[in-house]
Amino acid sequence: MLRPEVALRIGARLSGRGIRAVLADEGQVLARSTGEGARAPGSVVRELSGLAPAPVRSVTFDISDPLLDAARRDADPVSVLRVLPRPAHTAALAGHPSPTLRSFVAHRAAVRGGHDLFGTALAPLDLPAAVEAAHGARELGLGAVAVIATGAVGAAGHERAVAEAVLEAVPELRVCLSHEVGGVGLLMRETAAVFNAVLLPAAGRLVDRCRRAAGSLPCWFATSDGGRVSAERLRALPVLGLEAKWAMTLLGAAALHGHHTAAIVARSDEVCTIGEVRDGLPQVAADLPGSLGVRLAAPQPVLTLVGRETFAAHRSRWLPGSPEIPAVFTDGDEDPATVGAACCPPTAWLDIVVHADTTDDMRRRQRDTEERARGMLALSGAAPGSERIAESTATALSYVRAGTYRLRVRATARAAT
Amino acid sequence: MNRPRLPEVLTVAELAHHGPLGRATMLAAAQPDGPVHHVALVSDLEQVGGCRPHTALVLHMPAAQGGWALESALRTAWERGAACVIGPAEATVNRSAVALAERLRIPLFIIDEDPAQYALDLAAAVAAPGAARAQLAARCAAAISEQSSLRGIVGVLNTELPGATVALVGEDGRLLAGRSAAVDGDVSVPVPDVDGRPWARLVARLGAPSASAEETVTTILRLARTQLAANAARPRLSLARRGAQERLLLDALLTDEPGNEAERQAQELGWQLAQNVIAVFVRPALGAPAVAPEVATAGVLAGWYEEFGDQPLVPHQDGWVSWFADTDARRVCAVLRRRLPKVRCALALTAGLGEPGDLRGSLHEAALAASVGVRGRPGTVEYFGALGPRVVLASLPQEQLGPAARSVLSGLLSAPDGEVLVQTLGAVLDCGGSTTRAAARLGVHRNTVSGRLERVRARGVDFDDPEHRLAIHVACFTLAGTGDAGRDAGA
Amino acid sequence: MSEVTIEDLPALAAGAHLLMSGAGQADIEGVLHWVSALLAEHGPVPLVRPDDVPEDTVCAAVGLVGSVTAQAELPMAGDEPERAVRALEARLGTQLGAVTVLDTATVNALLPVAAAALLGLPLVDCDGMGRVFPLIHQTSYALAGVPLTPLAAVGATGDTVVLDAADERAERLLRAAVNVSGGWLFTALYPTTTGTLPRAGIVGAVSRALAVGRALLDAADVDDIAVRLAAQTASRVLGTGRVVDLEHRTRPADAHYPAHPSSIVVRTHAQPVRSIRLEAQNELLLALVDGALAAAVPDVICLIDPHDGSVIDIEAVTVGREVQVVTVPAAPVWHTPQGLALVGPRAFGFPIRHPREGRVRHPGEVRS
Repeated sequence: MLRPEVALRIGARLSGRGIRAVLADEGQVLARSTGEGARAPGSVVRELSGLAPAPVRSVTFDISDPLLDAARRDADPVSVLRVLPRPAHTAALAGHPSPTLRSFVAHRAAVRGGHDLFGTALAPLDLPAAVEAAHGARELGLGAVAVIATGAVGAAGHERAVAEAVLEAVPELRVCLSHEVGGVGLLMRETAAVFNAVLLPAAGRLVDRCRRAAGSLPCWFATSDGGRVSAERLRALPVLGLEAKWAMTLLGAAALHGHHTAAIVARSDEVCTIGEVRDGLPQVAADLPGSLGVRLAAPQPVLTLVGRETFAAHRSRWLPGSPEIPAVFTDGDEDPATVGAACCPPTAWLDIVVHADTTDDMRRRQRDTEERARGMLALSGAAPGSERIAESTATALSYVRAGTYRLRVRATARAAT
Repeated sequence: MNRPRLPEVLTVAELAHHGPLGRATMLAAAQPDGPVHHVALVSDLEQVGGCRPHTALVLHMPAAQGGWALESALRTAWERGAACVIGPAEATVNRSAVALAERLRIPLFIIDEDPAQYALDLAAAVAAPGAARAQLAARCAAAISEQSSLRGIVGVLNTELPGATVALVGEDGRLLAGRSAAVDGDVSVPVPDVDGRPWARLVARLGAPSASAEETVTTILRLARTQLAANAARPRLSLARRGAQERLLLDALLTDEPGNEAERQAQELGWQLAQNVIAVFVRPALGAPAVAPEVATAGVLAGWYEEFGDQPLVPHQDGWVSWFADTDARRVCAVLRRRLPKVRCALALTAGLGEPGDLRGSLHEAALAASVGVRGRPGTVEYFGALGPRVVLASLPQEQLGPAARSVLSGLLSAPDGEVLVQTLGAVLDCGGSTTRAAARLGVHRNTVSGRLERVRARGVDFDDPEHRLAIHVACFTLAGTGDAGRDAGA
Repeated sequence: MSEVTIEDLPALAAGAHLLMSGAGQADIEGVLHWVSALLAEHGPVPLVRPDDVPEDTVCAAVGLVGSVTAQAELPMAGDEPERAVRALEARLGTQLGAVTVLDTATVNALLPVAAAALLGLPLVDCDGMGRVFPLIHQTSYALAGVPLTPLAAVGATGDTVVLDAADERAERLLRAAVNVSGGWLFTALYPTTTGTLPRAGIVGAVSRALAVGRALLDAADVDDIAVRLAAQTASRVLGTGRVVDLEHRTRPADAHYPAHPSSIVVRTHAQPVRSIRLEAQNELLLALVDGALAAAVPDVICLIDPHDGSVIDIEAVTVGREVQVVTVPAAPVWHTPQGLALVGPRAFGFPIRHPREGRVRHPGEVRS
């Protein structure tokens, strides 16, 4: 297919001390480069830029591997502050069910406050208690606090108020708010907020390193939903990039084979990892347990793991088998994740609860949410006018007031840079 | 045999075409040819289960409330053998309901009016099919009267008759207008020419044959007859007359001393005969069905003029003659090879070309080339100058050789399928003894050819004997060329 | 007599998920974690048949009324079961000798275990639904004439509600309280004696949920699930395919039912391709295969992920998702005329007969 213009981009994956990168025009790989050591990212980017027959538009880094390493190895524990109408009576309910997550939490407190799903306050916010908890965290030498208020997905006022008060009282403490990632479910948002808090220092270092390597090129970061965000956003919400590797692998494998929609089977020695790309975006879902085994509110690729032999014996069970969804196989030799990083588009994801009395009202809220998602794309370098809503669903919530909907909107656009 | 007369019944297609369903939006058009015997207004899904076969179901809220209800109604309608389902505008119609209607082959309509009133209108139309048909007949009559060509008239019939395809077929079986799919249709109405003699038939194939549909279609086909005959007569008559006149003129011109009068007439007709011309002799391919000469002439002339415009074509002996004011025979040959197969007529044509020269000389060569050409496939064009050694065969005095050839092959010709055997033998000898190639040329299986050869040998014709071989080959060639052994050999 | 141990909890949760009939499961890991901690602290909970205890033993059903999604957003404080039961006991003027189950779906299969552990009472192997229904008076208890009230309910805010009302009024009053309490209330209701349970309860419901859960967890793949589930519950697979449409408010909403109706359309893979339309309002209520009613409430209709065998909630369904549609027959009490009148398709606004009611045969049927 002839493209009106080439759009050369560099996709790069940091892993351990190494970097692998490609110079690509969509699925067309023009050059590859690898390097190792502290200076490698810069030289790899310069080398690929030098090989480019036309100006390189941008470089996108997938830093999911070093982020996961940071979470697994050298993470500093953080404090958790829940905002609830009543504190839990037992440790099992006060804490998080995941031992992994608990291992990151050195200090925990609950203060009165929070909203219901319809945005009504359940209890007045106890700000002095929040400030006191922040002092407690600081006294333990903790650098960050994750704030999770019930109902913040629909009404974030209490989280913001806590953040303001804490930052004023203890300015050296960094605050991560659960509603910034979004999603329904206090524990899943807590996971996301805690990961953000834990990863803040590592994310800051990695983002700085990548920006230096990018030099004058616009610099983006791959995310778990198959999109990319700005350096500032990834620095603040590193959890968004935590599972980027598989999202980029799916995207890249599809792009390498020239498909916009495909079922991807990534084969390793023993296991096949199967995912799907539809209309140029990996299929994702919120509330999946990711590489760290904890359910997360942020969207991640939907993956199925099958033993290689089982897959070979029952292929049809795992593949859609429809001609519109061709199967693409990759053995990882071509490093599809770097290609995915080179061609990932700006994306936006919103997962919120709204209340609407009439169908028209619900549609209006849905349109508003879609508008918000379009707006968010601009921050990720979307070409103006190219925004499209890839997915927009409204699901009625069970057993609550009629008219309570969960809205999920996914938007994407063509990258400008 | 007396066929019991069925009650008059309209089909869904008829109701959609010239009945109240015309006001409805058709969402799924599967199987529109089902008859509609009854109309039922349904406000409760369970009532759908009680409907009689061939009922048009008009759904009233709440029977159509929600996509599931419509799908459930469609399903039950299918189980009950309903004719169609008509939903109110408020019904939730979605892709899956439309897809289901198509899958179950239940026509689905949506109306934007009060279902109760609509059901009454529909019931009235179903109860009085005559009224709806009269309306259709009136509409067709008006549309037909505005047409001035065969195609136009048959086109109207194809557009207006619901669920039927229509063709106009000549007495010779040739498609004159309309759709070839209709040629063997269920309904056939003879169309006489202006003098009342048989000329053609209007044939219609019905999507869902039924006594009532047959009657409607027959009525409307009859309406079209007069207009068709009037439109057909003009060009046909003039062509036949023109052919006869020109044949006489050409015969006169080909005599040793054509008179001044003939030359003047030729000039009037625009025949350019003064300078060098390349003559073309057109003949029907061997094996073409026998057609009365005057019918064939009219058909061939019409087809020729359609393809070649003003290029003259004049009946002559057992074929037709044309000539091109050109000196490049190969160019003319190429033109003919491309366009002769496109001439639309009942006969498959072949042609021979003479060398450029005066008409008489060139025509003589063209006739010789044509005698080779007729043995080829339909559309074959032979150029005298390119015949090579075959010129010997072309120049054989076939008229004189005929009796001798018949005598040599009398053993074969006395067989019931003697002509077939002669043609098969000729083909095998033409193909150097290869039964495979001969079979391909004759369009039959190789085993058939082998079987026929066995019978040829059994009748004492020893074509393997080198001493007899050439004589037998020439005899076969002669008989094939004179048409004594050329008919339906491959059938 | 048997017991519910920590090891049983994952199977109980999995079985309870399937019996939701597609209603939102949300994240129950927090509740599972808490109940596990309680069993670790208090030991296994005795699971008794109604006739294992004296027939005049006072008991009440316990469970969450409201939204599990809301509960995932607003977790329990942990003292609600005790407070609700104490408030009910105070109103009754007597102490409970056992707890029983409102419905064995989602957290409501687990919370009675928590209540029994906290209160030191046995759990009666019996519930009032055998699955989940949206209204609290849609129970076998109510069908047998056991009064719904007095009931006591406690929410995350710590407010306590004690209600005395006729069954349907109680439903509406409690629903109003749920809506202002963060979306759920832990409730103790249907106070009665264990002697009435053999005729008023769906006996063996907890064991059944456990058996269903084990079938889901032990199966090797989705085909194995179908076999095991069919062996346990006479379930049927209606088809496997891809979700091609999601629609909302496809039917007029009944004001008495929380949440709005929606529809899911699945196109099956196997030839001939069929269209399975699922009608949902809270739960999946109807399944029509090419327009023909294949399954209907009160039978459980649920979606299973053909890749990993997990149960898919309506809320998680997206266009393009692969699903297997499975139906599990309801407890026999629901197939009686009285049962179908309370929870059959007509009770949910569908003017059609449940397949078990048989179809009226009309003279001259042309196709079957």
